[in-house]
Amino acid sequence: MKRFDIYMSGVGGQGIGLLSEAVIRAADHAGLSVCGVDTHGLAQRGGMVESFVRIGGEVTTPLVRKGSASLILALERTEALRAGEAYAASGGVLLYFDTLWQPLDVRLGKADAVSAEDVEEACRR
Amino acid sequence: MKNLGEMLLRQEPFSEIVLGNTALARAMIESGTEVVTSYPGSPTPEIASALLSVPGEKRPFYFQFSTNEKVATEVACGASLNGHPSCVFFKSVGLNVAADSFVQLSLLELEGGLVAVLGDDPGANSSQNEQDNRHFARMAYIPVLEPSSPSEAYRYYLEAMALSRRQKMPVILRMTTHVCHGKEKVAFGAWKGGSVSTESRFDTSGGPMVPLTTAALEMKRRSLARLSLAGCEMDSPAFCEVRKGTDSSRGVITAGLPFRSLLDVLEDSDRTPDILKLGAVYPLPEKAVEEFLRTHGQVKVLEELDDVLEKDIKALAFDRGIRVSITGKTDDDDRIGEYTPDKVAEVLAKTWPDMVPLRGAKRQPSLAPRPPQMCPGCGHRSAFHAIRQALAKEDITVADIGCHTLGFLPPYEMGEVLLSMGHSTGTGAGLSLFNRSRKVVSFIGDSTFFHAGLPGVVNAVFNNHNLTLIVMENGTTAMTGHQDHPGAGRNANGPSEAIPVRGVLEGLGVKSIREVDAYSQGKLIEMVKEAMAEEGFSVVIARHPCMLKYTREQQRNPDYVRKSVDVNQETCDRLHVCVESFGCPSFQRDEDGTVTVSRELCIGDGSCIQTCPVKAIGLRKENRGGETA
Repeated sequence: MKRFDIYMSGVGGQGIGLLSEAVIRAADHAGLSVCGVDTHGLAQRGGMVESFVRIGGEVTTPLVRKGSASLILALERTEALRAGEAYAASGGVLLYFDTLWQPLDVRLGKADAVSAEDVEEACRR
Repeated sequence: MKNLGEMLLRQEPFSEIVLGNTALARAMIESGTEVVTSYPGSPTPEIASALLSVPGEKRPFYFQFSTNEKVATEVACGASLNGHPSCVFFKSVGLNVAADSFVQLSLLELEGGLVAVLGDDPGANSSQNEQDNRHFARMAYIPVLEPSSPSEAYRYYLEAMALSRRQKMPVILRMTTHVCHGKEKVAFGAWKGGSVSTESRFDTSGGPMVPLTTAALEMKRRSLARLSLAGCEMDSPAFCEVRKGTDSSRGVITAGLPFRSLLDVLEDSDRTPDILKLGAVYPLPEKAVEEFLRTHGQVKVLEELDDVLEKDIKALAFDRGIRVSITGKTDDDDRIGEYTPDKVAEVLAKTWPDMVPLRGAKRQPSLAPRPPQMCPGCGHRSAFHAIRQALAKEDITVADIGCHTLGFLPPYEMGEVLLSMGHSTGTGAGLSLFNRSRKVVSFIGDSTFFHAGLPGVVNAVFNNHNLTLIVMENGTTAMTGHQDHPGAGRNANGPSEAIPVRGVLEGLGVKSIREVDAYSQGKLIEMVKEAMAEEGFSVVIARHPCMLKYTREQQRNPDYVRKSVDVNQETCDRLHVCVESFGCPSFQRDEDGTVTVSRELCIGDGSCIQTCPVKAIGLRKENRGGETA
């Protein structure tokens, strides 16, 4: 099978690591080669977290290049937009959980919150 | 998922998808490593989580979190001198703390062997710099193996320990962040079982062991001889792998994660170079490198961070008179950041653009960044919100390392300079010299206080410095995943005597000490003002347990009911103190200025209630009087 790259993102504390682990186990259970990597460290302190999973094909590195993920899984709206813009391959799929955890600048009144329409519009571009 | 502790003790060979760090834990057990020490620091703490998942009575090793990396190194060294195969692991900058003892290791006869696992952090994902610890290896005469994946981490650890035991010398296993945290299926070998030996084998007959006067030179000679023996052993196909490309006039010499990134980048390329992948990075495997240089017209050295391999390879080519064009770093950018596939594509394209397929540039959205921040309920937030009110605008604040470092971000902007673990009292003391117009306040966390904070405190008392130290005490090593520290009353093996911060300060001769719960903001403001008004060195302990740890523990209780606060919209005057100044991430602001509370985030700690000038914040009705939601 040709390699299928997944990029996941969300906010620290939402469970991206667990989601990634479940996807990796599922791929392994299906008999596919799989590797991945999560961001750790400061991640649980409410910062942006990301996880890469690569299924099938020869394993090179778990890190996925920008603009090459077939599937984006995001657990928060702002991060869905950020992830899609940076990592989605042309024709890729964005699947996200539509909740909003406002980034600091939005709470400070220095930036606008991302709306579901913003995400949709970005996908159409 | 299978039970990690049971998995690590399996005696038959097996394959499992694991983190690089977990693969190391299994390698330690398989290789018979008996003593393991550490101080927690990303990217390595999951090695400890894996080891500690083995129940105490079943552990075929002894593990401890030591006070700091230097002590961890010394404990591992002592254990090795006594015949126990030992391992010490810590993060990149931990080696700076350990250095005084670390650079001596190769002078000794390490009877049991000693592997130092270093977690370097290219990209500074969770460190204050991206230092390249290969430089230390050269200074300390210690050979370095560098894996590029979890499977290699496992294999190289076994090789490193075997080499270390054969030569009775230290060996470095240099990990980097995404090798530690990469997950893949690793094929493990058998483990024949075993337990920690109780035989004491410390013996000075192979000495000298005390490097004074002429002995220091004799010991250095022995160390250098061992290093070259190790270098010869490592100059083998086991650590020097050649991959053929389609254009064999050109070759890349690389190591570690950049090797993996290179494979990824070349995947869609029509013209690919030959690759020499080095697993042994210090000393340079000269035989393998020389052969590669002689068989290629152009060679690119592709290495992360500094030009360590590049300089050695160029020197080798010069010494041996090899006619080959060698390109390494082309500019400062090549020395900065992690060599992800995107970075490697960028770096390689500067030398050989024809080998890097073009990709359409991706849009960079102008989205609000999402920096890490203090958790809902964090005592540090409450403390910073209060302390800011006690300070004058021109006063100077000095940060230290830990969760409280995040206070430098808006809206608190507390902590204006940072060097290293435990630096804040010393740096603050220097800032206070000849400075009558601006008061100096330093911060430190409790784990860091024990790690490297004490000498600065002693110095402040000894030299009668004029500053205020605020100890942000949360009872744990929070940033790295809640490891116990000397003040916690528990170590990695069970209960221990808690060392109280206040008692230590008193013992060190600090006369002015105040203590307060960080949630009592009014009292804290008053105490900080009083302390700062005093001449000399004063300490305020702002204490509150880490609420992330506390809440997680509470959530394991089946009767746990999650609480939260609410904003009374009729009372709220939209002054926005809660969302802009106190800044708990639970507060969300609508476009029209309405403030609401996210029930996904709020833990109902109530530390925000006191911050509202019009008393519009309160616990949700269902949380009052013990009723459940």
